[in-house]
Amino acid sequence: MVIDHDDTDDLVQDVFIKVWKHVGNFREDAQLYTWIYRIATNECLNFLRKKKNKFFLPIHDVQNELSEKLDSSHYIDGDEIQLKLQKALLKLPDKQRLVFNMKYFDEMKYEEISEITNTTVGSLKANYHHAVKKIEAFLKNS
Amino acid sequence: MKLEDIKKKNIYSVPDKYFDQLPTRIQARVNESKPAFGSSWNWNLVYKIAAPALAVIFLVFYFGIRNNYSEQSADYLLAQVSTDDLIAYLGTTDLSTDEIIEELDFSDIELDFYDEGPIMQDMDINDEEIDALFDEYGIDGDIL
Repeated sequence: MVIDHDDTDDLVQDVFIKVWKHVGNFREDAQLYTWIYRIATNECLNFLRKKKNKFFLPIHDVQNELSEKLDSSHYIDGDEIQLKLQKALLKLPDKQRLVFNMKYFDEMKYEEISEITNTTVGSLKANYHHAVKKIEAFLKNS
Repeated sequence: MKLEDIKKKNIYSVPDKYFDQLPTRIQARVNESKPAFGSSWNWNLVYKIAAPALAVIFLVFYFGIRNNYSEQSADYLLAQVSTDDLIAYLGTTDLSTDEIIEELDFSDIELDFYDEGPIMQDMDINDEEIDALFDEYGIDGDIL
């Protein structure tokens, strides 16, 4: 979601520290895996929101910055079409990109994604369908 | 081009031994954030006990100060007025002597009419004559 390895590393640590601090509040009304995943997704989305607000950058500047990191990072290894796919994903709104990643790459069920994101299954299906259409249009035009 | 035509692959990788070192680095950050004395606050307990206690203390202090202030301010202001000014003021009112006497609280005043000091000695009047004077002027001796 955040592309850069160092940012990802910071976020991973933040997530597990939050898990450790708040594990006492875990109500066991969901699976532990779901609860941790929810913390991770919230941390990602908050990070990206702060990044956009921090330097008063327009949204497309953040997209460009992440897109450049795809080309320059040592920890990204993919062929041309896979990099194009990742750049197409960066055009999506963060939450839509998040849902797409969970469905397409992590192959999670809609019910699991619904628990994590607190969104209805119907909304998720519509969301994913629109994301696929946008990506295919971008790949066709690029 | 369709999405299903693209080979699904995770293109992201991590440095060598990243996950082996991750727990150590997380533990180091946790240790940094712990307080030096090893005490752990139960913030829920603090909120449940301290907040109501502070509210009660504040209310007691506030109303106590307010009452003291109102009492002191009235007494304080009255004490600033001289006796002559008070008498002059009472003279301008429509209050009669009897009405003023009714408002006075004699419990704090030590009245000793039976002290045979220099005034009583000079008057040459006995108790029977005093009682007669009370009856003539309609003064109730019990109020003294």
